Amino acid sequence: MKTERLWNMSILLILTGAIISCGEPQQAEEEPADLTEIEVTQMDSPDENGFLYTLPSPLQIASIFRRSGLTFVPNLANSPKNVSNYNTKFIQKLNFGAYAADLAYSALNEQNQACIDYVQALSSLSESLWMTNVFSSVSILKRFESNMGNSDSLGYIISDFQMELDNYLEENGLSTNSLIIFTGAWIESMHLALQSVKDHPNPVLMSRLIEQKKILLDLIEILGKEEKDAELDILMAGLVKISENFSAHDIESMSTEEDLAKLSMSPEEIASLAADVADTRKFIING
Amino acid sequence: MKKSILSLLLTLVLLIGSAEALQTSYVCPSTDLKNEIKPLLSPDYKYDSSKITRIKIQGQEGKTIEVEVPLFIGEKYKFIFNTAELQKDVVISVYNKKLGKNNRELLYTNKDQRDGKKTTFEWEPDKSRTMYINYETPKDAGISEGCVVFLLGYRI
Repeated sequence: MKTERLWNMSILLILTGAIISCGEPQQAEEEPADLTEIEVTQMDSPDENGFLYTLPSPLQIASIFRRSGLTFVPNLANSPKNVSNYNTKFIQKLNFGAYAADLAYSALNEQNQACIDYVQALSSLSESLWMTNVFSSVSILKRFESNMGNSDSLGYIISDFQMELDNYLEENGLSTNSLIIFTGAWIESMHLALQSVKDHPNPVLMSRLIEQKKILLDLIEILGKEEKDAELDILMAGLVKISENFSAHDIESMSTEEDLAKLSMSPEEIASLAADVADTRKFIING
Repeated sequence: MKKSILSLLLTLVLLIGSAEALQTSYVCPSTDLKNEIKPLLSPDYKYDSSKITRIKIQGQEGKTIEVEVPLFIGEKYKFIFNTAELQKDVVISVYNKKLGKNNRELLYTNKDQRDGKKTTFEWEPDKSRTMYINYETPKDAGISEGCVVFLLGYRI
């Protein structure tokens, strides 16, 4: 009798433990990692955990560059035909970003067929990355086809697509993906602008390129907190090398367009920056 | 008797399990919250980026969470916040410098706009450069969990 009672109690204890421990993985699944969860603590210094960032959209960067005089150069962007060359998830994410930047560049320059090709390349990569919902929810291809030639409408479609992408990544706890995707977009945008500035000096566009130092430093800081792996290490080394080209420029104290206009680089400095960006881009687009 | 004890223990186990689930199952409905405020971008602004900040308050001290928003000089932006999922009275402020820096200027606060029902706040800065959003929790906050959605629009 006593043994039976002990046996029953043991079963109950095991059951209790099982129920409670079953709750733990559920918590991990239900709380997407990209939601900024912070047990609030008094922030006496800006270095404490809880310091967070937003990053701009590739479309905004492309539109700033375009208004600063960046013109369309055929065959400069990553070819959509390369899409089948990307095998690892990390490289696929980087190229998803690169193609998003190329899409923005093409749309702002009313390159209709290129837009369709880039949307298809993005759609293909989204399947590899299990992000097909992003495309189906905004019917991006249909909307693109019916708004061809209207760069303003295309801009709204791309910004809707960006929001859907952000929503998807947030809901599924994929904040690291959004960082990697953004990095691919940033490198591609910088490459497109630098190749133009290198051959056709443009002080306004150059100052806008130097202004990107802030975004680059934020990226390096945020990516530096991610778990290390071989591909990320290569990317980080490339970003750090690019950042060295900006070391002489203090953009923190700048707040007006007059301040911005004072930023410049010599042809040699531009060539060095363009070469470092091109090196990192090679790692991305060569797969 | 044995049956009663077993039933009691099972009930206890289920209650503990339910309480555990309730404590840990908060999910921020971020997409719905964003969709609610997205129309406020129209007609002049396009969606640029967003940040979901989950705020878990445990304790009596007033606290601050800071979010850095890099803005490009000379561009026009619109800040939109949705606080519908915040249980407690959190003040939103925007500064020109990081917390702890000298000569930090307050650029915007919703402190005097809150009436207990208002959950959407908008602000269009006159000038643009990197800004810092602060979410400040009240001193007598008690315990609560929620999230705030920040949506940034830019004018092309």
